[in-house]
Amino acid sequence: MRNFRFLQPDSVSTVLKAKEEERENGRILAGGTNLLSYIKMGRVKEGLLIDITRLDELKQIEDTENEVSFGASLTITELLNSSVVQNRLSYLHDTLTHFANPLIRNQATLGGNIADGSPIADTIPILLVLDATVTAASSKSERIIPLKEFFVGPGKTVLAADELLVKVSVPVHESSGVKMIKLGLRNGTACSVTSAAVRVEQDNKKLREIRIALGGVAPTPIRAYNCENALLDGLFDIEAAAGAELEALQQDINPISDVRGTAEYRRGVSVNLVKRALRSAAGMEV
Amino acid sequence: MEKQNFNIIGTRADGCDEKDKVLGNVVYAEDYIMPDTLYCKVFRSAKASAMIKKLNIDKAKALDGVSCVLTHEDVPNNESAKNVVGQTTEVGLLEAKQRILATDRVRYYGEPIVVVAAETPELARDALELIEIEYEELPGVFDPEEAMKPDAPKIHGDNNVIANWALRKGDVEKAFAESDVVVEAEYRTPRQEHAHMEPESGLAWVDDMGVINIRYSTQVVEHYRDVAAVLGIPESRVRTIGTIIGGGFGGKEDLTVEVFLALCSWNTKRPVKMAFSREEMGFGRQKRHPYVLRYKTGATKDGKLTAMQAELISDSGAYVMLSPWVLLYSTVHSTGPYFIPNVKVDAYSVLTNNIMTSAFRGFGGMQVAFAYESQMDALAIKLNMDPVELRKKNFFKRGDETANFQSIPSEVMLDEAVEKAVEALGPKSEPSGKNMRVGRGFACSWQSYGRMTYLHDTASSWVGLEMDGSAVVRCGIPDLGGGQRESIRAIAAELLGIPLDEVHVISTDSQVTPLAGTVTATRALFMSGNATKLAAENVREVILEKAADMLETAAEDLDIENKMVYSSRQTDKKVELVKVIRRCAAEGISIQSLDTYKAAFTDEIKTNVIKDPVYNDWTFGTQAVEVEVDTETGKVNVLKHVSVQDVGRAINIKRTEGQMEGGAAQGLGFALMEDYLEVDGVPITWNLTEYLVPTSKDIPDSNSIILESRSGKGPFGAKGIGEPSITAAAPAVANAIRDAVGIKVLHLPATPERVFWELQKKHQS
Amino acid sequence: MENQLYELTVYVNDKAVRGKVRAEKTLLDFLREHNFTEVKKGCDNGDCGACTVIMDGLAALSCSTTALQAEGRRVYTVKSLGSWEKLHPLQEAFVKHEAVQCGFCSPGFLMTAKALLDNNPMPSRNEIRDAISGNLCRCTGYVKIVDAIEDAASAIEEVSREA
Repeated sequence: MRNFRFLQPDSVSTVLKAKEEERENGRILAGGTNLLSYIKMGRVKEGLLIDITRLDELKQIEDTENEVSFGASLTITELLNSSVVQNRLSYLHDTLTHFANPLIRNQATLGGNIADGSPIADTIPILLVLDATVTAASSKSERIIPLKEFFVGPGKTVLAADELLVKVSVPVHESSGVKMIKLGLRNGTACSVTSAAVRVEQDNKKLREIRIALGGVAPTPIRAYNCENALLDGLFDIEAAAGAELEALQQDINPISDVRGTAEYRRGVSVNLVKRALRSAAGMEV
Repeated sequence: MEKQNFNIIGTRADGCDEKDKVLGNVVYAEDYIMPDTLYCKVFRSAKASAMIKKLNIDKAKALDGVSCVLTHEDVPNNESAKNVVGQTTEVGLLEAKQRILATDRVRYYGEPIVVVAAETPELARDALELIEIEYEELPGVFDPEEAMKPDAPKIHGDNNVIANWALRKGDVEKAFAESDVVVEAEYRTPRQEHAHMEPESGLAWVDDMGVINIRYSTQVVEHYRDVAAVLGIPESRVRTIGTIIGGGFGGKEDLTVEVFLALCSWNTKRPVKMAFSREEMGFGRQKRHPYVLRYKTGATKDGKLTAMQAELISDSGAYVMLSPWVLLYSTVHSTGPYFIPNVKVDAYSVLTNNIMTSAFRGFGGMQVAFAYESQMDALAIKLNMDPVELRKKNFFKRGDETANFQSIPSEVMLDEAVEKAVEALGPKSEPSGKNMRVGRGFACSWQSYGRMTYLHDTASSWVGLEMDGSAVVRCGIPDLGGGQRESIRAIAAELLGIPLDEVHVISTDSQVTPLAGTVTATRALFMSGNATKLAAENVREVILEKAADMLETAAEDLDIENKMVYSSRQTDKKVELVKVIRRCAAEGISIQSLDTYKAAFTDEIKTNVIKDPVYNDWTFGTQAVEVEVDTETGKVNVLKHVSVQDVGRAINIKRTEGQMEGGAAQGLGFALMEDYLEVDGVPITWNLTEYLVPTSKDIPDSNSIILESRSGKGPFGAKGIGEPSITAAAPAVANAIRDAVGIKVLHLPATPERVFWELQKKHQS
Repeated sequence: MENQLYELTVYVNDKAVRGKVRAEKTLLDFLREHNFTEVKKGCDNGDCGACTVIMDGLAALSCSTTALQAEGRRVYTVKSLGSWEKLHPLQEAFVKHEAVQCGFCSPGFLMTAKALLDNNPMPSRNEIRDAISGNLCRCTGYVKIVDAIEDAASAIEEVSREA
């Protein structure tokens, strides 16, 4: 048996009020690419479907000196078409061109990709290395959560039952090199086996700052702190960083075996993906 | 009076239905609706091997809007059996019978148990969720080699080996001892899913004469016989009406929705509709057999093949289906298109608790092609010989004897094919990055067209002229999307000298169109084309004889073009086709013909060792690819693809290319990404998110080169191309990967992970 | 408990289509139940693109959109493109290049291609391949589909240049 209701809210506050009343049963319907799939599989059998796709409040792009903020229901296509993304966050633009396929990109939203909590979500690793934050709102309050603290487990986030993810804020790192690489089992429309993003800041070939994040190697998307530190400690020349420092990655990751690959393969290949992303971010030949 | 000058055959004419297809006008099986229609769904096993301890359908029955809930007790003849030649007697036909609905035991995940019909699809789904079932799990066996062991759990009867075929020619032991080089390897191939875009679907109703009509998407309109057997009613009271098929590739060859639809409409006397969900297509329908192949091939130092020995083991899943036939194809084709004096092959098909396997484009030819063509490259490397030269020394020639002692009846244009294929790859591409490696490979194949000759295959077709000189063809062949109707339209139009758009083809209705058999086995053009040609030639003869009378000339000198009968000797002697038709009508001469084409007939095979002809003829071809291997991830990208096939004669160039490109794409998927995976019999790639078929970004631009030996047994010397188009793609990729990075690809698909580990192994050694 | 039904109007091929639907009813099912059976259900999970329509100028997966999300919007199916007398250049090219075999995926491909050319009138072959990568075809191997879209783009360009 299925029992669904539908809400076409006129404002974010209506959504938040509904979330307060319905809690988990208030299902946010944005791109629909995940939620409708769960409904058809029978994983979700009841609830209030809250369509947030018509709320202009959630479609705003705020472009400030240090940061760009995106309304949560902006679609991937809308981000790709945004001149701010094209000009100020070109690496994000590059990553988004590998997001699923153009049909999905027309519907899937940035907020949905994050809030779904998938360990292999296509936007997360790059947002992690950019030190992105998300804004969660409830009818009572609003809070800003660093993305690195947002994920708890597969499909699980810190969002409370009455909260809505309303905004994603991405700091602009003018002098960083950034690259995300995704490994799928085919070229068009593939879930990632593993994905890796790297951001580097260099002074005269000397590494000043590094961020490494991966998808598909742990129950959530992760930052690779051990590997970052190993590289910062030992590294003055990225060319030489192919070996031991990257092996520290093994302490950061905890992959499982699934339909797309074994844990061992993920361990082996993620080192190579990080290496390639690192070289690319540092402007070297790949 | 065989026609020689063609206006339609061999052109790029548009098809009869393409315009309606792009306009969205074609009505597919799931689009039909009748007043008062019910919706049918199937409750399936969630265990791979279990006894059903308790089944309670009361709540489902009690749900408002549910019309019928049927179990095995409601099926008049629940056991469907096919007399599949080649099945070993240890199991026997009776014990391996497939049940329409499970009785007390389920043997694979997805086995049908209950069928429900309700007022809406939602209610039918709700009813399924109200069915209560308790299982007692039984030990299962999921690996065919495990299943061959004496103490393995038995799926049916007391032996899991359900088919065994062999080849014995010469003395392989002696020949290997005398060979200069011998290569040996074990190969594995995946369980490929057809993944046609249109789900199995249809609509059934009982008409005012008490006949069950089933309008559905099927490759085999003759399944009305199976439905009649299950319901225990005369075959004449079941009518199957095929629709335009949204792809099949063998997936709509075995029974799919027809029996469920018939059961529900017979029980409720209301129209009933059903469509498989994509998940149900996954776990409810057969796949391509995964194989283990152990090959040993020997040659002299100058590259003459001396001996081949092979062991083939196929996983037939929980039911027999067409496994023995598929295995027979594999066995006969296991040598590749090469003359080998000494051959020893032992092949087994084994029952397991996995999803059942049966027909899929290639029908056992693909698995062995991967092995025999990988062996050829391995030999070339060992001999330090150009792989093209090695093959050229060994290709069959017309008249050569195969390992089942059958003479090759047609031209073998493999020398030309392989040269053209390799040449057409053009200059080698530059790698796209510093860890990328580019390599090239090719593979040759042979694939029979037409059914096994001991099945005594026939096809019938009816051709009739109308008073205005247009024509109608009635022929049972279903249209799979490959242009089956278009081919027979072209043949009739060509022979009768009528424009294409004045010939109408009615097909695939078991009670209206003469039965022409299945659209399987690359037999559609061969069989229905020949039948239509015979019928059209009969009509043509009547017309030419009458015209000869009218023109006072000899019929042999006459031809028909653009609805004008004319003499090729005296240009002033001509008469409009319409006038000839009218004269025939006035004199009561029939201008219609029903004819039946018979393929080659041989006796039933009585022994496991195949010593007699089994096939009508073969199509030979080559595919070549260029690939790029990412040495850091193991990912393989196909950069170029060429297919060269001798199709005998191309009836329509565009459609022939379409088959070559489409078949290759499926072959590339088989090579690189497709695998219907199960863990202890439980599927884990049952939708198109996880079961990956190639997208537009995975298939490169392809070059299709058509050769025409005009030596085939189809109409005007045509051979078949539906299945041969797929066969050589995978070994070409495997050989190209080896060329790029020096690793052996023994296990398909060559996923990034498999290639990655082989690269690691190579680094370490 | 009775499922709540919601009234809606969707403008399909420029005609108002009214109905009453459950909250979770997909646009795909809504369209098919209203006789727009040219919109195909291939996977019902967003994986194959057979159900692609154009909604508000963008190619949309109607299986991954609820009917109510389309309330008041303009939706176009393949039947909006051309007629028997005058095919749309894309349809013309699909026939000419044999980009159609079984035809089941064609309505989806044509709508994706239409949306592509509306936004990018002269795409490169790689851009075409990317644009159609959410539409699966199991018959053709895609080459002839790419050829057809490329050809149609030129044909449309030529007509607009003349005009």
